[in-house]
Amino acid sequence: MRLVGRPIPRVEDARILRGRATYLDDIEPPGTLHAGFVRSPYPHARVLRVDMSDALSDPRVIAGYTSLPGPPMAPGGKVRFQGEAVAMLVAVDRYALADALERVVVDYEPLPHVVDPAKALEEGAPLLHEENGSNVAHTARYGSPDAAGAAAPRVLEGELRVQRVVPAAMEPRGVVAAYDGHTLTVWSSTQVPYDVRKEVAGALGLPLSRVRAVQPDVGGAFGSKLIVYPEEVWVAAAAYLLGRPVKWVATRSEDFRATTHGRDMGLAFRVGFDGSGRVRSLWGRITCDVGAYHWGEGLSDIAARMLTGPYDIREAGVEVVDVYTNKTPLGAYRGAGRPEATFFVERIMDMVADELGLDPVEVRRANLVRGLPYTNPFGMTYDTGDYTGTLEAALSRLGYYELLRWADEEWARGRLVGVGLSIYVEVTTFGFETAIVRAEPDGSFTVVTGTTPHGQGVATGIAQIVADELEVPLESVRVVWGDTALVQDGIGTMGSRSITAGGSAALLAARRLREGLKAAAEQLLGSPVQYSGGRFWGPNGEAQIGDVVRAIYRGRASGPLEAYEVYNARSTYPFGVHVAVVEVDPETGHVRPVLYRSYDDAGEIVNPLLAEGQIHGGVLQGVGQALYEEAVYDGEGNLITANLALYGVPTFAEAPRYEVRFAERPHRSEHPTGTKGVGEIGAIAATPAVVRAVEHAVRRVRPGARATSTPLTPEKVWMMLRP
Amino acid sequence: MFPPELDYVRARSLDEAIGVLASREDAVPIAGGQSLVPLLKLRAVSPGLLVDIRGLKGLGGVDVGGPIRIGALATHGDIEGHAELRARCPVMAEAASKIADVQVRSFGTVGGSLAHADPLADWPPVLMALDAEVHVHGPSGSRAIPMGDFVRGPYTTALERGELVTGIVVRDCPRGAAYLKYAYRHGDFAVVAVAAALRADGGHVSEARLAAIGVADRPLRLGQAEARLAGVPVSEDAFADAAEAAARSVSPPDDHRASSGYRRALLATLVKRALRAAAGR
Ligand SMILES: Cc1cc2nc3c(=O)[nH]c(=O)nc-3n(C[C@H](O)[C@H](O)[C@H](O)COP(=O)(O)OP(=O)(O)OC[C@H]3O[C@@H](n4cnc5c(N)ncnc54)[C@H](O)[C@@H]3O)c2cc1C
Repeated sequence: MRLVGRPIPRVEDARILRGRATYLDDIEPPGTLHAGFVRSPYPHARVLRVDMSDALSDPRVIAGYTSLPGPPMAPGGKVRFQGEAVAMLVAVDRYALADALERVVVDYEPLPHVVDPAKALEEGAPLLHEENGSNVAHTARYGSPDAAGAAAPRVLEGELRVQRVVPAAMEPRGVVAAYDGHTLTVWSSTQVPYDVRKEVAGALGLPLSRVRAVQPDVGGAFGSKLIVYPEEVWVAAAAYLLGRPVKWVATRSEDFRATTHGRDMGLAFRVGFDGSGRVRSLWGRITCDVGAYHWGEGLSDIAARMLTGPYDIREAGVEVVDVYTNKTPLGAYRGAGRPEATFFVERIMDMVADELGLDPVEVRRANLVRGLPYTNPFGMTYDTGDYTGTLEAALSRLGYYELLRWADEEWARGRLVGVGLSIYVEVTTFGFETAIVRAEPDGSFTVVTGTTPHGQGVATGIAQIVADELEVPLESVRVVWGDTALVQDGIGTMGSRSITAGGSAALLAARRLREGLKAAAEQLLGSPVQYSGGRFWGPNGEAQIGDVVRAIYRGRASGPLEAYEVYNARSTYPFGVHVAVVEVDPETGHVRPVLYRSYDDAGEIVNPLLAEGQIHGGVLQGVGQALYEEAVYDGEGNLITANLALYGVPTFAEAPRYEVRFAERPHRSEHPTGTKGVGEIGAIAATPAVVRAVEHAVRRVRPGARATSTPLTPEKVWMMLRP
Repeated sequence: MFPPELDYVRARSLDEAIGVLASREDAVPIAGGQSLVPLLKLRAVSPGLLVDIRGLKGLGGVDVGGPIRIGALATHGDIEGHAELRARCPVMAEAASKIADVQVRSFGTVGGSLAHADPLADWPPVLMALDAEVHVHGPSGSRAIPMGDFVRGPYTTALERGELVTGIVVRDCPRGAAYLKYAYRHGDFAVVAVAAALRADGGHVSEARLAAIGVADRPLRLGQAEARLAGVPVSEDAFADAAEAAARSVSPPDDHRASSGYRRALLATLVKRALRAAAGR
């Protein structure tokens, strides 16, 4: 029986849930020293002098650095966000380190700062990077420049905003590095060990063969660990220079400032439409607050290029402006541009419907792309699907109209509930990925995936795929990852790509190995053979797959023992319809997520249990974006939501009841796995659905109310409810 | 947790604890650690000596024999789970259950909460509405401080150097009492919360006590709202009137969590709801 398609519990569970996983902080080679950073309390300042002499007078302090191989500390003699590193100390233990960090004296000359992107674009605004001449980090234009002035029977203009959030992975970032005189090993809580290896080797002028990067178990990342951070290179460099293991683990407060934030985009739009709700034109200008450094390249571009969403809007144009401000740099966060695009276009669809007094579903239906593949005005080609058919199926499976009727009845009983619907198309998967499938001497198989899972259950999914391809039991396949000593190159887990790019690479490697083993079996048995269920047979007899493998290991047959496959995966496009139900307290403005239903066509679903888990987690992050979370900077440039006591990540107690469904007859991608990816769906679809649900409730009390920015805090909802 | 170097001693008796605390300027007691440890973690405080009082006999426990006596070391969880207390004074169990989460409730103590005097701590408004007494013991002996006089400001109390909270006494817990806490997320510190204790006689209010947090830099007794309730018929109108008076009597802080105006509106809503809940018990 095929394993793909079955809801198999994660094989990773036994380790993770019993506390047997090895996270970064669990790694401590003998003699490890501890590194820490002196970080700027100012959002923008010139660093005049760093005096480490007092700290270094403590015999427990081994070294102090204001520069190391790798990126410069305080580049150009300035710090540009609160929390930026100006110096690094290395001490014998963390107590000594914490004491010593307080004894470093830094003379700062505070400079005027700017935290509001609109102000940062004004004439005379403080410049973060003087050599750049302005605070504009990047601009781009996509689609038709004429969209801005396009004629249409009705026109609506407005502004929308998605707030800045903190990815807040449960495990903060951290690095351990050790140099044994020959090999520099770098363990990092990262999504990109291959890039860590390359950057460290590059900074130290070492050949790649002498640098090994290891991704231990990682307690969440959500995109915030997919760049190589300066600390990773500096800690590795210190270990190399000192010849002793060095470790750095961020505290939670440090992580809140020194790990990239997400979202933070605004859209000014002009939409032209007719009386039936058909959208004739869409023009938008996306302003993205990238923070102090442009580490999150491409986020606003993706948002721009997905701005028309699943709708066939031919006359469309977008301008993008990325702006520097004195904040933590922006980076990828689950969805990376697509949640923003989806929020924008779904808000616009709701507004068009409200303007015309039409059913929001009617307006969406009138605009949905018909006939795939479809190339949107920004050159993105949606591969497969049946958007109108899936919408109709979703409406009935999700009971959308029943929920609306129920909401009416509840209101008649005095209870204020709202129902919101969102539709999305998202782009997943890009680039090459690597897999090695190796036959072990006992006939079991090891798969080394180039992906870098960190909680998703990818190892289970890939094991299912490979076990099916080899026709062996799941228990015969073990999946490992995250060590450049195991696999030299890959990209990693991000962009909902692992099961599609990594799974396809593994599938093709398994197929090639199986063909190779078949040829070996034919040598052994002296005849053409057939294969099924782990057994080769022909007219002269049969051989178990393990027998064939052992024959190769012992030189009695020739054939491959492993297959190394690199698969280049073009992008693919999941599509789906989500419905959120919330209850609103009309007196306090408090919003309680009650129910969440989803219906997704994400291609083949390798493991419905794990796919559902991905939807749950993503949805809760989307709920957080809609209702709870915001990285708030005050006028002085202080991050005031600076740790988990002050920053409202929703917990299990805030979670709605989930009812997750996948399309019964999904549209496969072109990839061998037929998958499209599910990792980011929830984070993309949930925010607009929840926001509409709140607005739907509020509009019973205040018919004209409109939600244009997130988060919809209770106070904001309370304001919307007031006369 | 990597605080600056500090000494630690586990006190064996109340007198020993008080002796050490009185003799060393840089000594602080530690009970459940649920407020102190986060501060140590952030290096926001740097005591030279922690005097662990958790092992002290006679400072824990809940006794509902006569007046309700709760030892300083009773945890929020002890109070929440105490069946007889829940029967005698349900509002205390209700309030305890709204503090943080299970982990915090099973370590954090009522004495620690009072001594810490976080302006958003849940115990002070409840104990103010119950007219509780805080019992303290120090170098110059024992005294009882009315709850209304105990909190002097944010993180500031009537405790003198070397004094420890030993317990609280609630002489009068009306059945008609309720604690309404509004927080953004389950288990968060309150934005605004209101405790109400209400007695009626022949359909008229004979006694009303109200206290709130989140509308000033410290817990407040809502005297003007109480005054509006004196002797009036128990009714929605009376509650609305009291709510309005309460809202008018405060000038709440304005910060990134909530504006002053929103806090004021929440106060009115919660006063009304707390009175309604109290009247319904
Ligand atoms: C995640 C989290 C959420 C929380 N949420 C809430 C909430 O919603 N509502 C709420 O009310 N509280 C909340 N708290 C605080 C919690 O209730 C603490 O337990 C309480 O404030 C302190 O009690 P403790 O025993 O832990 O005191 P400790 O942390 O040990 O001590 C706190 C302070 O009191 C002093 N102290 C302790 N005991 C005594 C004593 N007997 N006499 C004199 N001084 C003493 C200590 O020296 C210290 O200064 C939360 C805490 C956490 C960590």
